[in-house]
Amino acid sequence: MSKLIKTLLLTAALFAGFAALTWSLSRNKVQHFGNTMVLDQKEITAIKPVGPFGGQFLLSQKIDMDHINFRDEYMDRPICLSLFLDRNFPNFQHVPFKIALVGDHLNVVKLFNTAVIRNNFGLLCFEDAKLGELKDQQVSIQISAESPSQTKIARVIMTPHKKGHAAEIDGVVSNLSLPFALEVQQPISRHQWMSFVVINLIVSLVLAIVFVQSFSRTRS
Amino acid sequence: MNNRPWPAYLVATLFACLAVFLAIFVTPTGDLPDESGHYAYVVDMTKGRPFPLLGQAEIPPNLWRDIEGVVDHHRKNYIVQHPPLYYGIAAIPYAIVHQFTEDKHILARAPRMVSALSLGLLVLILFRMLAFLGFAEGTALAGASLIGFIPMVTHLASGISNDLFLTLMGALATLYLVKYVVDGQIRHAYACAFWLACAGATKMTAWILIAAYVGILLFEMRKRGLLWIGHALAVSLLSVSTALWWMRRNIYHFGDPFYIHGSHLKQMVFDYSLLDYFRQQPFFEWLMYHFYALIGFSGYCQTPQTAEQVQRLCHGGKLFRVEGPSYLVFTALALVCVLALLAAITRNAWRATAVRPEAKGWISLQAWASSLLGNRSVRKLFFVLLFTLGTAGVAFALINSHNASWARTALPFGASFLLAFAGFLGIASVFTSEQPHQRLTAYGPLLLTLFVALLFYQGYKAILLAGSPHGIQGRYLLPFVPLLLASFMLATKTFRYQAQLLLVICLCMGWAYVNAYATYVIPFFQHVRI
Repeated sequence: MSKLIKTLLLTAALFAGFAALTWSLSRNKVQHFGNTMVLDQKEITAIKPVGPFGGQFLLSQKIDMDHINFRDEYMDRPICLSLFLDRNFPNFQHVPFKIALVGDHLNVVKLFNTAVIRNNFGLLCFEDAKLGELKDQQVSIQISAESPSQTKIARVIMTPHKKGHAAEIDGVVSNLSLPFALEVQQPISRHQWMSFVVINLIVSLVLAIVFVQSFSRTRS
Repeated sequence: MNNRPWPAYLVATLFACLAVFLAIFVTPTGDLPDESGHYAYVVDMTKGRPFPLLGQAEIPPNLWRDIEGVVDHHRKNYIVQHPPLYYGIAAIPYAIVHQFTEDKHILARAPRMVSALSLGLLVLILFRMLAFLGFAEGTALAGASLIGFIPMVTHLASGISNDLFLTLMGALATLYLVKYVVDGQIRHAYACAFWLACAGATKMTAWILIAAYVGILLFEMRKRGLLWIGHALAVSLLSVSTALWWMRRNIYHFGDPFYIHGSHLKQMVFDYSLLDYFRQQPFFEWLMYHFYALIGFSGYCQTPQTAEQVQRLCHGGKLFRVEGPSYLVFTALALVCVLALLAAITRNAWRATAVRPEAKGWISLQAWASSLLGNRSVRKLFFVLLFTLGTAGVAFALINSHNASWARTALPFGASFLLAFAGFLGIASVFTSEQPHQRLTAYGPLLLTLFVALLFYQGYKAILLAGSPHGIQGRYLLPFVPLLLASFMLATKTFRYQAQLLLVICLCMGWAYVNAYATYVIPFFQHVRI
């Protein structure tokens, strides 16, 4: 077999292998685009796609759990977060959300489908034992929208509060109030696919040339 | 070695094409570190201002796109602190394209081609260097390709920045440094000095590289008497010529040869020691992260009026680092490579303790130093002393470094501290080894260790001046990578399965690169920034 044929075959194999491995590792994982420092809590974060094949979008704000006293004597257990969607919420009524607390190592503590949300307001409770696992970690509060189809912006404000009590938006326990700007876009653009294909193709071709050259030299 | 290594040309062309593709279709304009400042410098060049002055030169508010109603807030261009060589070259494609179009979208892409071309040439030069060192074509190609599988490298190659061009200059200087150390022909020393002068005319951080390489050239110079002095003076002067010129300019305008943006700041943090910095700041963790990939910048968001006008582009994170499986693969491979390097340096240094230096027809500082340590017992003592101090240093670093979680830092810390250990132990090889290849194996980690130590000190000074960590940029290490690559390749040369090891590293780095772009870089640029 000529070198050209070997190179092309190897390129195709590497291309397929890389795509498969990337897909299998990323489809159920959450990617972080966090800055090197903990983001300012007042900063509005941007939308975060879960991965190239996931079809999900994720919104996250990294926070330092050191600042949040989950063992506060004034708080009941389990701790609840209120999810408040602003006036643009009707645009998202038919978009299923998920909300999660995610630790450093992607250890998702709790996942909620926002089907529980009614009238622009939802009360989401997390188990105390699970929250304890996140103590002293950098934790992201993440909201993802599956099957996004809207383009309007919603704001989400979360405030921890006692179980059974109404949420105090911007209230006493306000250090967990994080504004999110959610801008829903199409899952994977053609541009994104094409970029991935071109990059994967060039890298696979480079590796194929290196491999064929190495093996032909070794044999000679 | 084949005189026409077409596979190497092809691979270099493919890397250049990859960078061109990223420059045009993936990396948004202004989304490279300091790209607004670099681009404004290039534009200044084409407008008859070849030497814009720090403190006077500005970044125009409509640099990247025309926005109606924009107000100029006269943002100063801090990038003009750099010498002009790269900007003069990048101005050529800009000026050519400007003859045909006024479209800012197209114009901004023109100077980016210089960085893309630099990447292709860089791979080719690294291949040439490894081929000179006696590696088979496939092995040399595998080694040279590794640099292109670092996302930070292709990110820099896809934008307007002097970093990749500087790395190319550094690689050319390294090629001739390696040739000089191996064969001792004085013309190679002059060629090295010429490319060092080019590096000095590109970026001020290259002056550290110049000092280190001139040190090696003089240390290895094999001449006698006046001839030694004459060549040493000529090589040194040629190497530092451009740096001296830029220093003189800085003295004329600012009264300080090393004047840069921020030099005027006064100390605001007191009672903060180097050890505090080491214990409290994640210097090494960040350096590894940022070396692998610190992507984005959002230069167009720096001016207030622009942020208002293009608010949609400027919310959220403006840059990010690649984490997850890609970074894990990179740090794991880095640790493997460092262990191989450490093993080779330890073996070389120990074997050199049993060798008595031979009399030669020429003299060099290296040979003189080696003869001073001519006694085998002295050599052994020297080796044991360095090994003990190095081991203690690594233990001290592991105990005292800022560490959020071992699960996250074990690999990068292992690679960083053991590389420093290898560099430290390499001093023994440098002084006692008779074999040029063994000394070259030690020079790479030794120089990188010294540079990182300097970078660490600069980061500490930044804390004192600004109160927060600054300047922990992995891309600053790139000019030192060619020599480190030569060291690593020589370290593994005696390995029975060196070619196979390299291919596995290439394969893993290649996949990590694809994964990094697929799951981080492209989604970030296409959904977060655009």
